[in-house]
Amino acid sequence: MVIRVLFALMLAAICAQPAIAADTQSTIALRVIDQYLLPRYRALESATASQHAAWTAFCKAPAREHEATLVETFHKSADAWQAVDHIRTGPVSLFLRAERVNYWPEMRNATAKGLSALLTGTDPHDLDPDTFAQGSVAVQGFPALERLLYDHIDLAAPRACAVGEAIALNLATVAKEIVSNWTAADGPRDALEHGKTVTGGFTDGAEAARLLLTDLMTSFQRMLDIKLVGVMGDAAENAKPKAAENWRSARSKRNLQLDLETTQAMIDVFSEGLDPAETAPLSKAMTDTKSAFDALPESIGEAAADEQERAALDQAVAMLKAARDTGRAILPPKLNIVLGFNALDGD
Amino acid sequence: MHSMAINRRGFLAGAAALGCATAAHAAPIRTRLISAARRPGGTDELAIWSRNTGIDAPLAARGHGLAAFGGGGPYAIAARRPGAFVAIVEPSGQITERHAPVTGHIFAGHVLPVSRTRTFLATEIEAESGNGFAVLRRIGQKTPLAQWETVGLGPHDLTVLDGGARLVIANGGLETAEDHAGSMVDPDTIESSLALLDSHDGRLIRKVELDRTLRSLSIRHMAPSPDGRHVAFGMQDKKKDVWRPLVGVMDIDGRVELFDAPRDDSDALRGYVGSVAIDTSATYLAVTSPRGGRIEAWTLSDGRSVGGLSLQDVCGLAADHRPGTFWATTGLGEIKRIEISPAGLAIRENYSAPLAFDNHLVLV
Repeated sequence: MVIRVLFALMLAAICAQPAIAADTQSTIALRVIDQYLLPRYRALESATASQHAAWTAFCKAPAREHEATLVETFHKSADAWQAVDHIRTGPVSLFLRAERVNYWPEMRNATAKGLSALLTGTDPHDLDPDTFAQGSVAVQGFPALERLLYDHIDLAAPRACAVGEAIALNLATVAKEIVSNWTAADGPRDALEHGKTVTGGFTDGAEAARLLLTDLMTSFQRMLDIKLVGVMGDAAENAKPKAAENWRSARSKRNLQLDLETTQAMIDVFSEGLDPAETAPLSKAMTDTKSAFDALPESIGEAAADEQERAALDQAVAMLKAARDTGRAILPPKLNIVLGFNALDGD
Repeated sequence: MHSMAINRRGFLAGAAALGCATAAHAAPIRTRLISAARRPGGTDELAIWSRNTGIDAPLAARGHGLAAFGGGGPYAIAARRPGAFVAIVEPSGQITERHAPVTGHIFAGHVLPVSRTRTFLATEIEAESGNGFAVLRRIGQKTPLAQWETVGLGPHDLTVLDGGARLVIANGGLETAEDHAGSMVDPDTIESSLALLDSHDGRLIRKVELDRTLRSLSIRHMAPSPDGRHVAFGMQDKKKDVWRPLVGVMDIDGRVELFDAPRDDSDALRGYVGSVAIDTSATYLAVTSPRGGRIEAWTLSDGRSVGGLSLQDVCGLAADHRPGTFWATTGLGEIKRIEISPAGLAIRENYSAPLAFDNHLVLV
């Protein structure tokens, strides 16, 4: 318990926020959108389009040897999604797009149940793109596709193939919509550039910059809370190996590495106008984290349940926390962006 | 006990260095405010602010909903969902009890003293099923006295109407995992509802569900009217594909009226209401949205928007004892007294604290 003295606390400073130069914020937001975000969304659009094409071809002439193509395009698409997995700013926040692409962690077995119902379903129209998109988000994205590919389901069976194709098309469509929404002639990017009122999630450059920086900080939190600590539990015997992301497709370590890589890239674009000396502690913390991540065992879930291997996870957690705290201490003040506390997460 | 005095001159000098041109407000807050908060070092606490002291009661994890027992009694604070504790805190800041949820449950974030007999209710969620419970406990007693089904999934806030005779639970529906998972929500299965229970025995009196077109809304927070005949509620839209109402009022017979969009900007709340309050004269209903950085208000009788004001990262909101007056807190440590009139909203007092105030504020 701490008792503070009156003035300390009441402080009254009616001090207005330091004036935020709206043009600077817009410049930062535009730079992040153009140099960081859009290239990654375009890569996602391209990867998911290839994946859909692979499913279409496979379903026309199912052959065991072509399943490898499905797996390969799945991994390429999942890689592309990991690069933007933490973004909730802009068009991805509309129409439950983020949830439709990657409904995870799975609550109450919704994906398993939903997929099972889909696979045994006989409704000729439930896989029609519009109907499918309006249905449960739990079966529309990567986690459902991963189960199809890795749960020993006979993909040559017409219904299974059709389900896979529907998911692949949904992913491609969502990626395409995100890119086209962002870049539309009257879209948010254009409005930011020309100082027009933006509609859809944010109103101006200052808000866009704040939301994007929030996304960046959220990336640290997702890695930490969900992808590491959430799997580890407080001890090996309480580990939850199946809470590891994409454990079926053995992507748990890879996803973390990709998350860190994309976080670094986003930091780089945000920091472009800053003196490197000011961001040096963050660069050091990120380098240390990368070393710790590279030293992680391949399976985060199995490692979490293994007394010996947990040391590597503990090290990754410690480095990541340090990087998060350093980032939180350096970036908002240097960029003159005020991050919210209440606005970060809901309840 | 560790005492931390902040040098006033030093602080004001710092404020000046930030370009603060306005004189600091001289008078101390006349009201006692309590809220969950986070200190700059990352420690979570229950913050107690009164006329001349600020007391920090450190918590093991982030707190959320809180309430005071009557007669200057202790405070109860629930951990943020999924919560592991409800703590009982003396006005001195001393934490005297820590209650655990029923086995297999998590605390759902809100707590409510129900009588002068030192009993309180907390919302809990059965982890496996998501089913809601209101669990009755007594201070000084580890074993719950009773547990009642909220007849819905993912309960969150709870309050009483009709002089305490009826308990209202906001069943948020299929809970989101946004706070720790960044995912979730099937818009077709949210199933949010308001459940009216007999507060003596937990019997369900009425359950009010939203229209099918509003199934992406989650009812999360409430505020009773001073006469105990109405309850205002705030919602969060998980889909946001079209505009949907986020604020409404239900009367004691279960009739619901949904309020229109804010007057100046229909999307001002960004699909997200954080706190709800009705002023002491029952003239105005106000809500906060941290996502929108807005406070918005309506006249309670006819649901007409009277406007709003922007306040970054605002969430905590509570009615003052004066008509048309509210207090609001922000994640940036600001404390504001706000007056509402037919002309709109105005900030009348400003204070600032070296803390990030969390979602909810209570005046005691």
